[in-house]
Amino acid sequence: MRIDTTRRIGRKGLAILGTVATVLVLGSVAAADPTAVPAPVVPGAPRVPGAIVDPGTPADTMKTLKTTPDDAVAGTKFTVTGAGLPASKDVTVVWMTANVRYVLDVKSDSVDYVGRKVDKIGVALGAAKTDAAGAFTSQMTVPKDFGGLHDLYAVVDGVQVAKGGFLLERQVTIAPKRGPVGTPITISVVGMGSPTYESVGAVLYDNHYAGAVSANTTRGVTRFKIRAAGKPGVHWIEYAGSSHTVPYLNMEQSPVPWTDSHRLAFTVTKDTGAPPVTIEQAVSVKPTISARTTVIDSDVAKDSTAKVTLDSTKGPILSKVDVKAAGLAPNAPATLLWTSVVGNRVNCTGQCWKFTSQPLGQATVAADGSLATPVTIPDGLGGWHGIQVVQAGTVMAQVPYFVKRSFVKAPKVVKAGRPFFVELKGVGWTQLDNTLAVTYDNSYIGYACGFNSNGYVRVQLFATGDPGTHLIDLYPLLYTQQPAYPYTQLGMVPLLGFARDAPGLAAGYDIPAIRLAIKVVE
Amino acid sequence: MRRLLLLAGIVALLGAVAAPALAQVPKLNVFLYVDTVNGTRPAAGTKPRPIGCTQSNTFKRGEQVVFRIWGSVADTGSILSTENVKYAYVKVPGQANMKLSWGAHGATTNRVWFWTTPWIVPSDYPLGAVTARIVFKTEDNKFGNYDYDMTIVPNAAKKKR
Repeated sequence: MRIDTTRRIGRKGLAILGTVATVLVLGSVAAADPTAVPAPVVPGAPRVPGAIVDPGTPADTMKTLKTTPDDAVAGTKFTVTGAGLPASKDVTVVWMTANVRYVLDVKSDSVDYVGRKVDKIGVALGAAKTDAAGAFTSQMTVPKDFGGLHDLYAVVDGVQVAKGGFLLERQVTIAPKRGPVGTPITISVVGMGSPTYESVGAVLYDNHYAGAVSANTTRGVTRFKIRAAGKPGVHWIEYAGSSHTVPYLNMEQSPVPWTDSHRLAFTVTKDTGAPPVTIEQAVSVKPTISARTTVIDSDVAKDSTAKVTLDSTKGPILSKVDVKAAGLAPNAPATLLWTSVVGNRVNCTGQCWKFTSQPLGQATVAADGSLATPVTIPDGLGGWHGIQVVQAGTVMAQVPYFVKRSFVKAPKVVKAGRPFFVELKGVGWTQLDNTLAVTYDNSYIGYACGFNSNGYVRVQLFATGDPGTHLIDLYPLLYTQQPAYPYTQLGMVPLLGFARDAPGLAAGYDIPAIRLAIKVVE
Repeated sequence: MRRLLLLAGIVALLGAVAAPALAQVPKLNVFLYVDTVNGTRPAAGTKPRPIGCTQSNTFKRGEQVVFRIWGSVADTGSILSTENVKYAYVKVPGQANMKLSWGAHGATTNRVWFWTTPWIVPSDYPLGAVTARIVFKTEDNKFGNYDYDMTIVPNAAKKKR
């Protein structure tokens, strides 16, 4: 994918900030090009469980297959038998499943989360040959794959001669099962479904909503963490069926009742005090698309052959980064610019944010056309930005840089009934990273946004509960407003499964969960 | 009478919706409306639903599916009944063809005539998608086919804990 958006660079927009800072205010014409982005390769995620094949066309008179068992968890051996089929023919047993991708609209001035795209596929799970009477038997293993119903077809010469089916049951486990307050609890899930109403899990902790989980790009398999909260004793974790975000409380009456009934007990043993702040990163994956906000190909002079590289491509605000460039006009000054945006989405009608450029420094290019200089990443919005090398008012080269979300401070002890603040920096502005979701003792209480405050977020909270340790977790959130698209699952709630399945991973968005705790005192 | 008017409306609507595609499909001789409801007499050991005869297209093994069909002859508008139908049946993969019966249903004060046949989903019937083909042939050799999709699910959700 390439950003093909154009923007008009207005020299009149050049302004001086202080003595050195310059801001280029640039008009934005953002592209609307929702694209199903290729799923990144997530370590440990299962692959498509066989060769993708043509599932064939239905026979006019189709037989049925006997599948034993036909309702089990991944890894179970099962047998498929057919009879009365064409004699002495090769049979392919086709397992119907799907590939799921996220749909993003990556624009030059934002990224919109648009939803999911499900492509049904058939894979060859087994092969056999019918005997002289037209019968066959094939033994297979239930693959680690999306859960729910899978149609099975016996395909002979491109024709579905018999139909079977299998229900891949969802499995949910937790580890450990006991520990003090703050213990990270890993919840492992196999068998999330690919259809909409089977693709989201909603987590309740003692009937408090903690957030939503998905496994769209990991073939229904995921694991994620919450932390043990509450007084010593048994606490219940429910992994509930959900269609979009919150539990579907009568799933037993729905067409997909198998997504329900996963309830697990965790025993809090004691309160050993507030655990230290931890930052949980998403898994490291290679992005599958190259488009980056504020990095626009048409900004660069067409005849420029200059190249610019960085010694690191991501880091928090105020990171020191070494910039190297080559192919510039020799013995001439160059300016390094930081590309970003300014504005907000609140009550947005029309153009609500604009491009900005901020000087990072100046240097003189060497006689061989090279440049090497350190720069400091600005204290501003997080997410993807560009570093541009400008000579004589012309952008000669540019390179993207990702500003990571960072924790600043929070109190350790708060009196019951008193307000307190949690501060972060490097919060972004796109629908993937402009907001964070806050849980208090695994109960979702609200969100905070960093766009209007230029990446600095001061979350206003209130100390409640009995004296002792209380947990505050700040999760990634998919902001599905301004603009809003139909049928966006997972929006506006804690994205508990962010580390392994999130729309932003394909676009290089590395957004962590930040886990804090306070001691409430009387 | 009200239901017949509704049926006429549905038929007319289907005709209108189908109009743009007429150039690409064979001439329609018979219009069919098909739905399914849950029957009140499931297999032994299968819990009946709290409310019977409710429209649904997802059925558990052991439940009773009742196919309901209303139809008319396209060029005359005649209602399909035993007076003009030579045969009518439902064909489900792996099952014997099920003959459709013309009869009156509903409360005695509000009886409506339509075609039905019950089918108890066998306890080992394949899970997942199933397409039932509804076939009508009129006395004057006009055919009407309709492929009706349903989903078969297990009899009961497994206990997870």
